[in-house]
Amino acid sequence: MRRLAGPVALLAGLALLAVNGSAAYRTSHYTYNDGRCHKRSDPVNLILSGPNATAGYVGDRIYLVTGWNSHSGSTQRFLTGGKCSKMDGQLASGTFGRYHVRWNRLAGRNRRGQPGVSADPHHEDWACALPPFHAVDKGSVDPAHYDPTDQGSGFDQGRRELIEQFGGKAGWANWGNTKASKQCDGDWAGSDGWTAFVQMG
Amino acid sequence: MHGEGTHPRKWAAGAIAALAALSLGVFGANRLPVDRDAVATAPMTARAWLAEVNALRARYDLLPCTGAREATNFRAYALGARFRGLRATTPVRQCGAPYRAAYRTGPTIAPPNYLMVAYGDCKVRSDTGCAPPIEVQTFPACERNLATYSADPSGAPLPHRSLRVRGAPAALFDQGTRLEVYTGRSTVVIFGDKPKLVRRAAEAVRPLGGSRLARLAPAAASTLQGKLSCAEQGAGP
Repeated sequence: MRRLAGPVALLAGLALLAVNGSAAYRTSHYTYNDGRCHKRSDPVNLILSGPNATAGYVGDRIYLVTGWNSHSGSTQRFLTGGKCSKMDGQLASGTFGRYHVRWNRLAGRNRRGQPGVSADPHHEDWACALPPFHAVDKGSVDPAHYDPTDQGSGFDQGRRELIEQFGGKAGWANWGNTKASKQCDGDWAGSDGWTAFVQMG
Repeated sequence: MHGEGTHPRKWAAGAIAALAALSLGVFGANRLPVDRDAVATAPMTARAWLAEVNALRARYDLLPCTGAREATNFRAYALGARFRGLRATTPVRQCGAPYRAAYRTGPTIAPPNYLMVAYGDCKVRSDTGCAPPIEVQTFPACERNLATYSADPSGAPLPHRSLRVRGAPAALFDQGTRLEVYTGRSTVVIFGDKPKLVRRAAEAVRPLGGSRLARLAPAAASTLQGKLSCAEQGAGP
């Protein structure tokens, strides 16, 4: 038995390393608007984690802390753990100029072993009449189109608002997912590439 | 009814011909279209705004934003006036003042400082907007490079695959749908839905308004290590 103790301890150590090393959520950096997750849409810019962070729990918490109660908006898909699945939910703060977030459960666990949910919070305006579509605010810091606000694009604003509603604390990682999308008003909207990680109780 | 439709049709044909002639002028000789409205209407106050923005940017070791009439102060890249039959769109310029990521806490984030040229068009069919087949964004290397990324707040590296594109170091992200080429003092980021098209775009990358070079200048070693400061990079390619 003693002769086995060394190798067993070594194997256990290696196994632990492997578990810790792979302790990460597995997610694409965008949402998708087609059934095969080929056509990228919004940047994922927020991860919500916690011991109970299932899709249902996170949806309830978003509703409770923000009061956003509109379920209107188009359906998107998320790619997580290699699986392309329809989003788990969405909430918006109103109908016209509004905050809007879609979310979906994540494959994998974080370093604390907790489940998580990815989300695409953004601010958008009802910018187009026919057909009646919302447009996410463009990156507002654009010297070619003088618009001197310093809030970033609609994605950066939405992320900031939701973090604030959840208490203002977050960890940060730069994923570089700055791909821009053309909006119905002809503007281009994209994220600044940063993703916030919010820990929920 | 047919007779009534003839005149409008003639007008439409004339307008299309005029537009085509204009386009030839704009798109000819590997030049990219200029957003003439923006240039013409850029107000004087923009200069004051830029001065304010740039004073803030200097505090965070970021390159100054350039104005609407100016060339970028880093070498920008694109794929020419057309790429595999896809026409270049009007370049989009982004640059601005750093801002707080959250109101009370969080890091100060430098907004993306890039020049983007998209190839091909797409039709917005819903609230989600749409993405053209290829987007090429060029950033100054001191503001965006491999060392600026992480997968999570612990600083774990963002998964990627290293490779070389025409002599320059490069990295593939997001299942091959994002390819970054680190050349000279620029970071060229190519986004596309199809990995094969993204790789082909990387082979076609050329300086904006210039011709394709067989080899791209490799990035400075300090860039890849994340040690190139913008004060050191300075203005220019």
